[in-house]
Amino acid sequence: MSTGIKISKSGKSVTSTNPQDYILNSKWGKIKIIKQGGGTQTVNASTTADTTIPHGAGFYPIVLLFVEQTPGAGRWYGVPFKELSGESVYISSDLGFTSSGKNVFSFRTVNTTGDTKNINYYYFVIGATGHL
Amino acid sequence: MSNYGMKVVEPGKNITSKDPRDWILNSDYPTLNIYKTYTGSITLNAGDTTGYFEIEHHLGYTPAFLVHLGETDSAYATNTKIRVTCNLSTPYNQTTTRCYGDQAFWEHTAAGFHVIAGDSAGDRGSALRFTDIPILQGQDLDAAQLNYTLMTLGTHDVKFTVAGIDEDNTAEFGDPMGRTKTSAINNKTQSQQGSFFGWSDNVLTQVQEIVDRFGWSSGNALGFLFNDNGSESNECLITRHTDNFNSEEIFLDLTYTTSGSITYTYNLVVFENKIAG
Repeated sequence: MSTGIKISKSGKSVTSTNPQDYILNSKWGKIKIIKQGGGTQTVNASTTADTTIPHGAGFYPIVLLFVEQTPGAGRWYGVPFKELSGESVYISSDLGFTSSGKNVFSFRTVNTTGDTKNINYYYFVIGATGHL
Repeated sequence: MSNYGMKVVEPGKNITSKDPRDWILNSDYPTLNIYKTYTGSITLNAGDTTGYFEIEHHLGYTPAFLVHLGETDSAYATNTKIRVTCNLSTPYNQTTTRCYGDQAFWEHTAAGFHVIAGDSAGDRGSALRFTDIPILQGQDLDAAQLNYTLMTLGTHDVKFTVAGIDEDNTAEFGDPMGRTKTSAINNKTQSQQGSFFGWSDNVLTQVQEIVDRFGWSSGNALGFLFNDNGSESNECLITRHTDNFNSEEIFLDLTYTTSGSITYTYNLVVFENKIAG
């Protein structure tokens, strides 16, 4: 006998095998957030800055990272972090610098301009393995 | 007991496990909660390099989201909408064809070089012919670039012109220097370069004028005329002196766009979770 918790959507049977019919079904679990937060990274003119966030998961988790490359613009970009038209600062896609480790994740901010820049970021560290 | 909540673990896992991968549900930890899912599409017509679709999410704050993007695509959220942008590295259905020179004519040849244009014991010119041009009659070109490996002789700037040969289908050369020129003519000034280099020139208007001719059709040949334009004595452009015409050093890049369109479809997941106000 299997055990667990199910809550089906209104009008859907609790015996349905379609995951989309459920508000909650412990059989499929949820996307668990083990850490979330944000901050601001300053990067000097024509250089790079590395940001490291400890998460202590003990495994390689999936990380969702959003970046407001022009603070105050209100545009929060998601992956992938390529150089984007209209944005003067971007997150490097080089996996040597933007990656998730067992206990920290890090990303590199690249500033191609001649001025010091700030970026705002927000992240979710997901309680699921992104890399074995 | 001060701690309370709900925890459901995977079969075979201990309820006291601190590994979040063992949990099916743990009320001590928040979850990403799906607000809505959307499907959007972006249609790029011939010549387009970018397009986007937007959704209004009505959450009143900037939410987290997920969308599977191509390598050059991007997506961002604001407190009212999410925009997914498709970017192509080159315009859709734009093609650049490289045509190699088929024949050249030089008015003056000396030991070790041919004179392209300028003054070398008198005003000198030359001509080039390209065959099998894959442009339809009247087709709009995006770019046309003539490339030539050359160097200069002398000590001052070389002044010369570059014109198209105003013919429906440029015939093989005898002496083509008297042929009718296109109305589009480039007046050029080349500073001295003591070694061979890759010279190039924008000949879009010349080529467009030729392919716009009523008698032009795809596969025809076209040509260019180089003429001196007041260079001082013994100031000229030269190319290597080879027994045969070296087409690898002379080529014409034609960029054009054919019709058609392509549609990209994206599945977008918007979460209730907030990333900014």
